[in-house]
Amino acid sequence: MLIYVLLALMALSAILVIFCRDLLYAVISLGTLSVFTSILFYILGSPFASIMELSIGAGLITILFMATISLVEQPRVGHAKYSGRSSISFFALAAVVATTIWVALSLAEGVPGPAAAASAAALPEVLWGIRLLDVMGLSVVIFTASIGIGVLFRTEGGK
Amino acid sequence: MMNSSIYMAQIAVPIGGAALTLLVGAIKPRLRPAFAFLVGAATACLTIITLAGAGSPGRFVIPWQGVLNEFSLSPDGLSAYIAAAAGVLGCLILLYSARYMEHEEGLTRYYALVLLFIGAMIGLVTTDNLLVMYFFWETVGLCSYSLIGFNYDNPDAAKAGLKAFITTKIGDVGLLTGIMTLYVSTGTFNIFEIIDAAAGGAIPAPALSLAGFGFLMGAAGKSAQVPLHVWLPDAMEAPTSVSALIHAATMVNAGVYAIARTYPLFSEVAGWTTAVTWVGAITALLAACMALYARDLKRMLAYSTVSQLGYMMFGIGVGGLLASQFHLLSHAIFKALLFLCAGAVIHEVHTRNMDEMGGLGRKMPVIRTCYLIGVLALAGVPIFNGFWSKDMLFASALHSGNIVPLVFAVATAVLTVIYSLRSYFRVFTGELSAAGEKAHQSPPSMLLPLVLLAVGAVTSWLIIGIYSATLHQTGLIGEAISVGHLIHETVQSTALLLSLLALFLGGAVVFSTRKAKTAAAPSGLALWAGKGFGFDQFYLALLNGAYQVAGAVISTYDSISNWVGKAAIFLTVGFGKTLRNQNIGDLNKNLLWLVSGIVIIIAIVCVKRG
Amino acid sequence: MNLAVNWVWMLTAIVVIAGLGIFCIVTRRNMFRMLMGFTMLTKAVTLAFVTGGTLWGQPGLGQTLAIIVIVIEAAVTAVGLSMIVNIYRHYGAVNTNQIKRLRG
Repeated sequence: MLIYVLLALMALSAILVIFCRDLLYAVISLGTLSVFTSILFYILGSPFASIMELSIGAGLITILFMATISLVEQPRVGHAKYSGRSSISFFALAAVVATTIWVALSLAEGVPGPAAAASAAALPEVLWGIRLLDVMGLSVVIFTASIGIGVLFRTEGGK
Repeated sequence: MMNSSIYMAQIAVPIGGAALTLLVGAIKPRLRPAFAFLVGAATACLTIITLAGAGSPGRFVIPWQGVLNEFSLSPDGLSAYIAAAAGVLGCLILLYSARYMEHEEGLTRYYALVLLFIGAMIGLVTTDNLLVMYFFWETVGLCSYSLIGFNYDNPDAAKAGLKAFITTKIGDVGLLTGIMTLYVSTGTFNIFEIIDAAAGGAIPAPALSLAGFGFLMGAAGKSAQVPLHVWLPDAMEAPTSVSALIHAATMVNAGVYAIARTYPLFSEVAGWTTAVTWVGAITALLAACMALYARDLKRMLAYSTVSQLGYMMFGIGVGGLLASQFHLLSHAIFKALLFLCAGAVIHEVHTRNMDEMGGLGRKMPVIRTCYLIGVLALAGVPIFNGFWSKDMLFASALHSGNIVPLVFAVATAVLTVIYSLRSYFRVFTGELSAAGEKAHQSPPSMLLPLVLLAVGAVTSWLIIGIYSATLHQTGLIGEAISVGHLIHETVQSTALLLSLLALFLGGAVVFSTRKAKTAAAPSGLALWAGKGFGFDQFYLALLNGAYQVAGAVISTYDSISNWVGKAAIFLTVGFGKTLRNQNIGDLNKNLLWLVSGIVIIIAIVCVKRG
Repeated sequence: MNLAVNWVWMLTAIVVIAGLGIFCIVTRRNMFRMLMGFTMLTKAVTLAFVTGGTLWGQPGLGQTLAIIVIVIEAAVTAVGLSMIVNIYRHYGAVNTNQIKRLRG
């Protein structure tokens, strides 16, 4: 039951992120969304993912957003109205969401019922055993991202 | 049995040479004639080597997947000799061209096309796949049109090329219909398999008959038979060497070859042999009449070619396959000889009108002798090769009992004697004309091919033994005959009487009217014959009417299409404006399309899997 | 740990969150909010991995993939934010309807 409450809360935070006027509130809603997600992860039996989500999703990303928003002036003009042709976008989006749901459901049809989650399979084993290549790719991503950020700022500073 | 890749080589060498000629023309233009001659000589050697193994051919195959079956070459007696004629005559004519064409522009084009033609002609006769044959059929046609229009800045030449293209294309429609009908009925393009299938009754009679008359139509177009003969006289706008090779000795035989090749297939079709016989007989007679009144030397020879091709068709129609094919070889030799002589004459006197020639015999003795040999062979004087093959034709007709067409053929023989001897007298004897004052003997490289061909015209009938044996081995004729047998048969047969009668009558007419060289203005039938019996006018009127009808239809269609066009413009502009509004650099919109695209791709994948 | 999860509801929730993220990206003009939409989208993906891991009894594998996605999300967000800052310095605006210039 807790799961469904959490799911509903997640959807609510997501809607808040989209529709609240103030950008800072939106960022806080995003953090809340992350917190709910991390709780859900824990319930679903993924404690490491839960911790990562909490620290990175709710902590790091929120702080990054806030810092950047404060760098930029006029943070409060963030809420823009629907543009003139937003009705088209809306219908298109509705179609997209409907298609996605249908696709997801049709994909899931062959799925067996929820199986018993294996008791705390050793994460490090999986991480370093099976998914070693992914971890290597991950470090490359992080490295590239930091270099990218550095380049972006340095170029601007050099001008 | 020999290495069958030689069959490929004899096609690949000239066609590859044609491609290399373009290169040579770009680097060292002076070497073009020598290079082309070397390629031609190599091809001639290859074809002669092939000839040796023609009795027991191998088969060269490049398999293709799909409906094309395979690219297969398997020369038998029928094709190997025509291929050899193309190779050897091509080689001689390339030698002749070196001096004959030396002052012309666009020689790279000339040599490349001639070599391409030789290769395609050998391919046309050696392949046993009808579709490949059709491909080569069109390729030789292409070379023919391009070379007719060689002097494309001359409007007559350009028009003649176009006329040849359109006229033969009408026949090609029939040929293609025939090939497709055969393919649909049997599921193969291989002519031998088709013949076997037809013998087994696999092809329904209407389909076979449609195919048979389609082939006849294609052959009539290519071999200039009535009513599609009108292109060949105009084709004389081509350089004379081209006329000798393509429009006398080889390409125009392709139609006769196609008919001979499919003779076992269609000979049982009701009315087919009769149609072939009559097309041939009528063509022979009409063309001979036209040749009688032609003033242009090359045109006269062209009509004569049409007439002789008619003989070959006639020969196949009456069942004389050997006679017809043997006449084809004889004709290739003596007609190439005549054309090359005519070319040498025209080269010196700069006119094609026979009335402006005369007395050239003293200036050009070698050419005079060669031309005389050619004329005697054409007229069918004993000992020359034309005599034997023509006599065999008459004998076949007598044997099969086709008396009325035979009368046509004998009448043609009389006319042939008249026009050929008369042309000789008009060009080489009598008073020296003004145009001939500066004429002198041709260079040796032009005389050599002439002399070789003249020797061939006298002696080529001696190969009848080998030739008929080869045809017999390939199962096309019942029994082979030796040279002695040929002489024996000829002397004993009634046909000899007919030949001699024709000779006598023709000779009498020529010698009795010899003094009146330029007769009074032709009138009546003569005038009509001189204008080609009005075929051209009739076709022009027909086309004129067709164009007027088409014009009316098109103008109606035009006004409709105008509105359609306006509507299309309106729609296109509107659509463009809508599209333009989607691409204004709006990040959100771009992302929307991106996401939609991804979703659609996923959906497609799911549907495919589901 | 035995856990009865109704996978239909889970999937629906995942799709709804992802749809909201896409909706945010597509309709919002503010680039910060678009980036938030992207973050929501990746959260849905993470959730999908973890749910899948639970459903098929391989929580370790699901977790690992989820961690990888989280880290990548953080990296992408950081780069995206720095790009927004750059764009703001260049155009003086963070709204996409104010930065439509196609060249320059």
